[in-house]
Amino acid sequence: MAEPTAGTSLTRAAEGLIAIVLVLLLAFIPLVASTYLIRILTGIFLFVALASAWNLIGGYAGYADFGPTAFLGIGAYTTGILMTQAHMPFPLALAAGGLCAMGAAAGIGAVLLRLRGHYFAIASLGFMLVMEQVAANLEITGGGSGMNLPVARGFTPFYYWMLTLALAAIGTGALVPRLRAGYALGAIRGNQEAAQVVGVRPLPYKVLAYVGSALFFALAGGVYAYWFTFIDPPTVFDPDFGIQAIVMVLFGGAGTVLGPAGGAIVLKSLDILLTNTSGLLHNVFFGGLICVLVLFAPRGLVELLRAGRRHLPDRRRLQRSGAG
Amino acid sequence: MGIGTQIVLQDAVNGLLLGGVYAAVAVGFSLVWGVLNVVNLAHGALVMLGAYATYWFAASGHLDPLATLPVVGYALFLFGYGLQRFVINRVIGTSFLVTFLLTFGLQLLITNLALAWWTADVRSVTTAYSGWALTVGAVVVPAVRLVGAGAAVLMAAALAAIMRWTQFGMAVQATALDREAARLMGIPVARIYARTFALAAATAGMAGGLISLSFPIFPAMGTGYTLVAFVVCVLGGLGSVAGAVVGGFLLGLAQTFASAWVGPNYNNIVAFSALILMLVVRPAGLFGRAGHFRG
Amino acid sequence: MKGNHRALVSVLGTIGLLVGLAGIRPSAAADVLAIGAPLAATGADAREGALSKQGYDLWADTVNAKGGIPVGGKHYQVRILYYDDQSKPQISAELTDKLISQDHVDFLLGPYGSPTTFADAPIAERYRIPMVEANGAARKIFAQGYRYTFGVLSPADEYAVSMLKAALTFHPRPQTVAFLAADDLFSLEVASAARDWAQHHGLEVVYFQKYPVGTTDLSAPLTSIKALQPDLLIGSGHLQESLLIMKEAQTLNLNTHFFGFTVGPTTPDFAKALGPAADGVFASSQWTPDVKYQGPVFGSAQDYAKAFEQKYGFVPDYHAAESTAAGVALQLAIEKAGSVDPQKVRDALATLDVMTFYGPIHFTPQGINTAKPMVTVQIQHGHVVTVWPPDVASARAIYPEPVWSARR
Repeated sequence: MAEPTAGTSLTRAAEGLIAIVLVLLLAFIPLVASTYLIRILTGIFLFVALASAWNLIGGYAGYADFGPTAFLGIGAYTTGILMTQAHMPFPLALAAGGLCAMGAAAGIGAVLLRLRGHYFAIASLGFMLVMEQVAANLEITGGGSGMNLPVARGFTPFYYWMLTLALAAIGTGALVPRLRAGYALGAIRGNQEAAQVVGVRPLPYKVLAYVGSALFFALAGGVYAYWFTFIDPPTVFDPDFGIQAIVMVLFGGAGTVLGPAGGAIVLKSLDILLTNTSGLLHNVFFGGLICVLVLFAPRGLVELLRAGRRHLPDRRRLQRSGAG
Repeated sequence: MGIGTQIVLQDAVNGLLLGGVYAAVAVGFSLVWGVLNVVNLAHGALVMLGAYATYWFAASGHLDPLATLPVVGYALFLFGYGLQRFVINRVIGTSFLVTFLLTFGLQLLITNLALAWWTADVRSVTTAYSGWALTVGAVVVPAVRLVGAGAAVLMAAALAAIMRWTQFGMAVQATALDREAARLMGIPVARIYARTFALAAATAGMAGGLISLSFPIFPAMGTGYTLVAFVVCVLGGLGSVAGAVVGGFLLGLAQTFASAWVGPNYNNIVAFSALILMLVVRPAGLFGRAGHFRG
Repeated sequence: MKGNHRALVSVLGTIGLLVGLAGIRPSAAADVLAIGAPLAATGADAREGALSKQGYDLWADTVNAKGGIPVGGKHYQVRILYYDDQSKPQISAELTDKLISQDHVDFLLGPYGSPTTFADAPIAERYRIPMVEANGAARKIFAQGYRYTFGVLSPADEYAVSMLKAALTFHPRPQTVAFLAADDLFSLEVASAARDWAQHHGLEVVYFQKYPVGTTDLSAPLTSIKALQPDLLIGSGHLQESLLIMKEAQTLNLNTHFFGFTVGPTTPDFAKALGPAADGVFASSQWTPDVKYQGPVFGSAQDYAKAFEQKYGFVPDYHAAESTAAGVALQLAIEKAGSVDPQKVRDALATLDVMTFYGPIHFTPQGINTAKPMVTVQIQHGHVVTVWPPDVASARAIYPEPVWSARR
């Protein structure tokens, strides 16, 4: 913990100012940038939101959820169904999608979050695969043929939707450590049995984190569905969303506030660059990157930059404080 | 014998034979998980490599797939040894997320290198006996699949025998029970880990060879088998070879009957609902030893 | 605090880098038409995407070798700019946007597959850049009111129906049919259209099931089908699944008079992978080298096949041919318009009515080419031969197909 220095309040104010200027800048960009740039920035904001959301369950609670995309899909389809069948306006349908996902997360979370480590990971992935097939087998979703949402007027509004989501997710991540729930989650992540001994009931807090993550995934899914107009089960239940979010959080630093966002920005930008230059080897690079990251910087980029290059993570330290 | 009964019997046979494939794939996965506590997401990729190796032997050398099985197994043994010793070993004992991600990255690498090198062509190994089948009454038992299922059981039995009756096996069991204690007793833990992983890779490779006889092969085929291995291990219980075999057969039967009665589009729903159910009701699986599985 | 600042700087630096790179525009060479093509090189459609690329490339090379496209006294060389969309619609849409707004392509050639074409069409529509596609057959694409997307291939509902039409000309007349369909937009459209057609033409549909794309086992549905003993078994899916069905049908000793697939048997992989087991299998095809069409640029269908074989070493299947045809259609439209202005070319495409090596190309107001019929082929002695319609057939169909014990 850094000792408070004389200039703390000044630095805090400076940081706040930088944040506001940055947000204003981002809000201004669509007026001057090309549609391609708007599109890729929207994609980046999507992953900033997803990574920051996953950080709630994976970083703060220490539960590696491998199927968060289940909720992205739930949000996407709920929004889509309500817009096409009930002719709801988009914001309402989006909110409904979020609520639906929260309910589902509370329900399945109460069951799954009793598991630990590998078991929770595979069970959460299994839940996602089940939801994907459910969507493929229902009539109301259009089944395997997919579903068409109404065509939106233009692409720019989605930039702002995603930006708002990204900021909200980061904000939630900043808020949680200051709340009682944040302390409880930290205790649970460190040593769940010990936390129980001091009177923290783990399950409600874990479910809270899980539901929070699910909410943002669902909202992102709803925006995504309206943005791309056509959705089908493999697209919105694509494990890639979850995997990329996890790697971004790892890269940026799990359990930090800005780490996941930073990780998302850097990795998504790299991803776009790679896609454009080398199609076939794009995944090879990504796989190699993951391996290198895990082997040499498992605590993330933030940690690495903070500590300096000579201080590579100590395996034993990770063992004591790692998740699982 | 009515048509209905015939279909049920045939489905049962199909399910068991499919389960044999699943068991062959899952046995090595269970071993690595139980001993090294590593969930190897690249396991399916190793199966794929074994399938392709078998294919290349058959296509260019006209060598019979069953004959080249031991060679493929040995090749994967060496590959697995190197992989564990020089890469995976570096993250043993760290958080499980780290090992999970590392094996995921490896899977991505291996699968896409295979794609770049061998292209996305779908291939198949066809031999003179590919179409042979035993006809028992009205039920058809494909010969190749029967051999595959039999080989799976043999592999599992051999593995169990190694674990129980060789010195290496005892060292492995000791290491699995308590790594530090084993180290104190003079067991070369890193080498044990490497050889265990290599053994698992060998079984994966041979499973791949058997798969190439009955199914089309392509670079992305691995992920499906990794998931299957996962479900089988949860169903059958960790750290138990018998569990992997029984779990494999059970899953094969469940999926085949679900496919016949509800439709093929429910295979994941069946598999993962079974998995979640098992985790909630009996987390140790059918044959596993109960441990700290609950949260 | 300092560490945080370092992190912030590196993140901002990346953003700056990205913005900078996004702003770089490649300089367009004079008298070169840049044509964008987001095509799958990896992912589920990698194999089919590779075949399509060969078709596109053959067109570009041939046109350039002949001096380019003549437009009002000048000659334009064509250059195709490829990106791998990984068989994913959202990436395909992104890449289409990039091709138009960053790379400033003049025209677009379509991606592989219906979902990706579906995702790219609205982008082309928004920027008003004509996209001529050859590999997305779902009718849904053409029911959206798009004016800038043109499909040279016959639509999805024709795929299986053409096989049924062929089967009904055989003796003895088949009575029953079973369907197995992959659970995706294209395969379902094909199978549903075929089922409706069958029911209206006196064929009893005894079985209809969907399976997950890329499934690894179909023994249960095949066992049920075996008990029903249908005359025809139609598989609507992809290459890997048609191989799987044949292999499993062989081991289960499931015999029918007619195994027919919409995708698979026409690719070189199929006969190679199955050996003698592939004999007798029927398939529907957008085109074969046997058809008796003739046109500019490539001459006859046989000429095209020869040119392809010379370049790539094997006989082309319809994926390559239809992709080349997309290029030819674009070329002919440009020549007809006498201009490279996108609007004029779009209008020329809308009124195009030509005969090519691939067949007649004439788009409906929705943009799909219904002028060209599909053909039915059969694998005989390891070779793909055309068996229907009679006026383009190069061999008689072998019906019923030989039972398994007879295929050695």
